[in-house]
Amino acid sequence: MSYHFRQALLAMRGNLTATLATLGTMTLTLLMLGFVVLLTQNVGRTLAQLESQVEVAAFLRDGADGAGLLTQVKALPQVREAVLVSKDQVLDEMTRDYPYARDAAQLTGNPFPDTLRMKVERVQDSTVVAASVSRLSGVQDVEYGAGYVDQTVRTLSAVRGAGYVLVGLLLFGTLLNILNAVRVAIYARRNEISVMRLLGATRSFIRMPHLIEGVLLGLMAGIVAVAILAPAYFQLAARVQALVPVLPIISDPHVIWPILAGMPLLGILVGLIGSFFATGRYLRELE
Amino acid sequence: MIQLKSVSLEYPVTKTLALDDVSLHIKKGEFVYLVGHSGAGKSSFMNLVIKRTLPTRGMVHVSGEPLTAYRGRRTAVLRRRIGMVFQDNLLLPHLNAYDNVAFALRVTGVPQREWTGRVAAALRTVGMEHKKYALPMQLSQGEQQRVAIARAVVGDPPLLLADEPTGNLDPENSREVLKVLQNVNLRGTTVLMATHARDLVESFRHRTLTLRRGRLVRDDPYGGYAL
Repeated sequence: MSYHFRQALLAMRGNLTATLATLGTMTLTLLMLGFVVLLTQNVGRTLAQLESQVEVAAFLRDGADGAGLLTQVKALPQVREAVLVSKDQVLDEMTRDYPYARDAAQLTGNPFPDTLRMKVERVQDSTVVAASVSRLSGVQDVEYGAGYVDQTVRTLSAVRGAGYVLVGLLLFGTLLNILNAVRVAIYARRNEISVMRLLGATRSFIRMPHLIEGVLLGLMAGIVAVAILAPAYFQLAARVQALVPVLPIISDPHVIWPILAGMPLLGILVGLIGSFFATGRYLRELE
Repeated sequence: MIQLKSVSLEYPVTKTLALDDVSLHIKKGEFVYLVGHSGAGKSSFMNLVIKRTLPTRGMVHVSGEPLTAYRGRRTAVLRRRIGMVFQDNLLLPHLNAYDNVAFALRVTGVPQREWTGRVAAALRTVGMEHKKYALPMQLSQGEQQRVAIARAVVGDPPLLLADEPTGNLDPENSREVLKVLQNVNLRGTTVLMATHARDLVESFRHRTLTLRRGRLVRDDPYGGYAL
């Protein structure tokens, strides 16, 4: 094994330009990949938070049986939780945000109705729940922020989907990258490989240095990518959180570091697969 | 050791009939010349024996087994039983003589503790032990070829194929190399040497197979160059 390891290092040093080019492109690819993964994680968390905050509000007529209606809506399978908020409680809430509301209420009376507030299992359930609740006797009006919520969820879902597609394409590109690098290394050693074949070397003996080369390139690219991405992400996360506190930016190291640690592992995997295919193809061509 | 039965070899791309209905038997321990002009089929014959190509028709047996029995990993097994020497010696330029010969032991998985003795013995056989640390570029062509022979025999193969081993050498070095090959043969290795060096074949007589346009036209047990 030490012989194969030495041969791998010699091959990398012998084709230094190709090695550095591959290392550079792999690092960039893993860097972009890591960034996209972190972005999609953050988008996912934002989506989850948004979905958890989506509320269907049913405004009740005066004299409606609030407790009875509460029981009915809780029985709906799409409703995760439901509370009955009295008109006085609504006024208190509005006064916290808009202090003049209480003064206005004293002049004209409390304009706010008793309200049933429901949280749904999924954002998509909002429409169904709203439709069901609006048919109940005693319900005057139902609101669930349809236009705003739907649009936001669609946009963020599209961003997440695009992120995953980009990750897939980047991975594929990295694989092709390493495949080419190993082919260049094999081509540079073709005379030696021909001699090996004629002397009776097995395929695995010939392959081993190139597999090690692929693994080393992937590992180094992953480590460099993490070294760049980690501080950059934590700094960016801190700035975004300071600017837009409502966004649930992931900054817990216990969540981030497993993602970042996956990058060198992914680099190793891609390096191994790419070099495996490259050596296989070339050795078949040699035969 | 090598047996061909009605073997033909046609290269599909060029539609060239490299070997045409060749039948022969080379026994263990023989020293055999394979002679013929360029394009007669000598190299094609050698490529068949080491399974670089397969016959279009007929059967090839090497070391008692049909060539088709050597599949996949067994191709490496076949080639370990055959030492090869080429016109261009194919020594690795970055390795000295010792390491070039040891390379053959490394790629075939021989334990490292055995290398020193075996490499020394192989280099002694070819008279190159005193230059074991020389790089190929520090050796003459004849010396390089002798190191190549040492590499071919260090694994004690029962069969040695030499494809124009003196092709790039002057007469004096050619004779030296041929003496080395004869020495190897005397130790029990079957030697098959492809050549068109008439003077060598006439001077050092051994069984001679003559190929012309892919056909075996002569099998002379007492040697002699007759084309």
